[in-house]
Amino acid sequence: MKKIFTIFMSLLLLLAFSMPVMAETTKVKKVTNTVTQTEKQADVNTELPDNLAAASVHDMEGLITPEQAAALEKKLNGIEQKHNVRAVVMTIPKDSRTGTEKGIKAFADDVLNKYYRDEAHNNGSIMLVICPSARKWSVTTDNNMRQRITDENGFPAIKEVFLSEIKDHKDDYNGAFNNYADKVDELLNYYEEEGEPWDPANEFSIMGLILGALCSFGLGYLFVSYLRGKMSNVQHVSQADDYLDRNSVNITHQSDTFLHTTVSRTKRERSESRSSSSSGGSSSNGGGSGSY
Amino acid sequence: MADTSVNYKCPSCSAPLAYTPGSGSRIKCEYCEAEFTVEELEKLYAEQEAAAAEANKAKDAKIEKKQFEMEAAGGAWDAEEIAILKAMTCSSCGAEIVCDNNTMATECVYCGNPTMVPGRYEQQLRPDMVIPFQRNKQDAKLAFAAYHRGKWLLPSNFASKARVEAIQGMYVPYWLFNESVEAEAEYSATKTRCYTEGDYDVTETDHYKVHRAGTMNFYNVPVDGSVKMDDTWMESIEPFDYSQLVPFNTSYMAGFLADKYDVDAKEALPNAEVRIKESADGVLRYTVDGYDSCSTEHLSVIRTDGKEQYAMAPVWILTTKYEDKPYTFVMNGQTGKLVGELPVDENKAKMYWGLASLITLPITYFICKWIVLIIMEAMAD
Repeated sequence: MKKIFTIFMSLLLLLAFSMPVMAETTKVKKVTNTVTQTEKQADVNTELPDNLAAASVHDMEGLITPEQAAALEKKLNGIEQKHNVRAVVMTIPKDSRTGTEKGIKAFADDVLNKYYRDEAHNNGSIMLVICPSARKWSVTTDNNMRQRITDENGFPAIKEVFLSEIKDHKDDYNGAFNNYADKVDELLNYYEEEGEPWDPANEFSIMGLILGALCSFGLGYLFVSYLRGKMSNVQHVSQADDYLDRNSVNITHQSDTFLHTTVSRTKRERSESRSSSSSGGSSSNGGGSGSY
Repeated sequence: MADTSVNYKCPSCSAPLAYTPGSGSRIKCEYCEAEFTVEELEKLYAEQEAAAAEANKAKDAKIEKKQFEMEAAGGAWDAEEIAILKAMTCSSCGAEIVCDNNTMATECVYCGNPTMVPGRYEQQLRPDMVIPFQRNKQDAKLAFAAYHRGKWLLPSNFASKARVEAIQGMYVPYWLFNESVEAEAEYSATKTRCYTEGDYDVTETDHYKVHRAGTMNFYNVPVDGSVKMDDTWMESIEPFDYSQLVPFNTSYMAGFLADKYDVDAKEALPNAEVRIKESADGVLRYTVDGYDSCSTEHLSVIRTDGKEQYAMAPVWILTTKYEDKPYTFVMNGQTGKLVGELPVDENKAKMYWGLASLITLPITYFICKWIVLIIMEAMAD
């Protein structure tokens, strides 16, 4: 009986000691998985072909059909030739780098600087990168393109047209890419015609005109009311300040009694929109990135 | 029932005498340039009034007899009309002058003779003080011209077509209230602090009860004692310079219209007290300092001492007519402050409305466009 008990206790102790070892084994497996992901991330970067610059559409995530990709490629090539620029669309898988707004922007900047800046297209380069699994996007421009499509005005306009097709899970990527291409073409046309980058402040606004007219109408009314007021100086006098002997004023009692304090707290409004973005770039790249 | 009127005639040449604005306590004959003090003329007037009263008695008897003879012609005055109207004979040309019961001084419509109405002060208080006219008829015309100059909405032909129908100097009865008051007020005041705490905007408001009390004196708060004169118009020509208040003398009224009061001091007092209360509140509230908001919860103003004076104040009344519509302007006969309502050219008003709208449109357009852009950007985000 004692022997059996000893064997049982030995087994129990062996089991107890073996638990951390098993846990370590599991951890090692998890680490191995992470390493695999890191390797995959490295693969994403290293998987980019050397002749990447040859094409303007790289749909690694298969968001659009080959036909749509071909049509988009044709459209972008036309824009590139017309304006002597590079205009690129790329979709990428999620990894630890491209899963954040900052990371996808850095990735886009790296790819643009490495593959899409050449002497032949000296009017600049622009690239839209989308990571659908992380629902992150980035638009990056080089310095030449920044002069044509500014971070302040051009970038928000491009962002608006492509995001409108994919945010809120509409996910019309083909529509988004074509809108992007059309807007880039439009902004570059504007620059070439006007000699300055597009600025919405220079555009005619019908809403601004209607509101402005209403405000002017109101100001005109106030002005005429003022003129009408000048036509009469007959007014009721409600006080007797002119007849007060200032030297006779004697304040005989004054007391200030604190009663209570009321506190009101208002939660500050934060943008809770699923689509967020940040703009502004480094000294060499413009554009911005965000979520949708 | 015409009374015999009394007027100041020059003892030297018998020409009518009138007070010249700004001439102090002396009256000068425009014809023989003889000068008299107001006291001398007051004595003369007292004698003339006594004689006029005697003459009235004799005339009344004769007129009563005549009424029986003329029963067939015309109707009889009713009691109300008789109570209001008063007729008298001009002592200069003998014409009959009709005026209402409140008229103390007027002028003959036929010969323009300045006329004092006898018996008008019976059962009435004699004014304590008078502010003599300092501005004359010419000053009133100039003030009127200056007033309508530069008014954008004035009809273009107003200056040429508006004819000054009459300019009449008039002494308006005023009650001047001197009051010592004790004022006490309770205010509800707050101090507010705003700051941010984490995700919250916090507003902290400290509430206070503020109590103030004090005493103060008001001198000569004016309230017009004439029903005919609109209170708002009379308030508009304030203030008067009381340093020129002099004891009342009827000589100052020669050449001007004058009304006796028909609103007594008791009726006028509430108007003065409302104004005094408002000013007392202002004085106390001025001492409530260092708060972000302050509202009056309670205010009481108690009159501790008070005295009223009955005074006559000088006013020029200008009547003009433009497109058959009368426009009246009133000028302070002492300070020259003129008040009134000018006609508005509605076409001009519309034109300026349109013009102002057009001129401001480029500016408002750009501002609105900018706001619209900001809103759209915020919505896009």
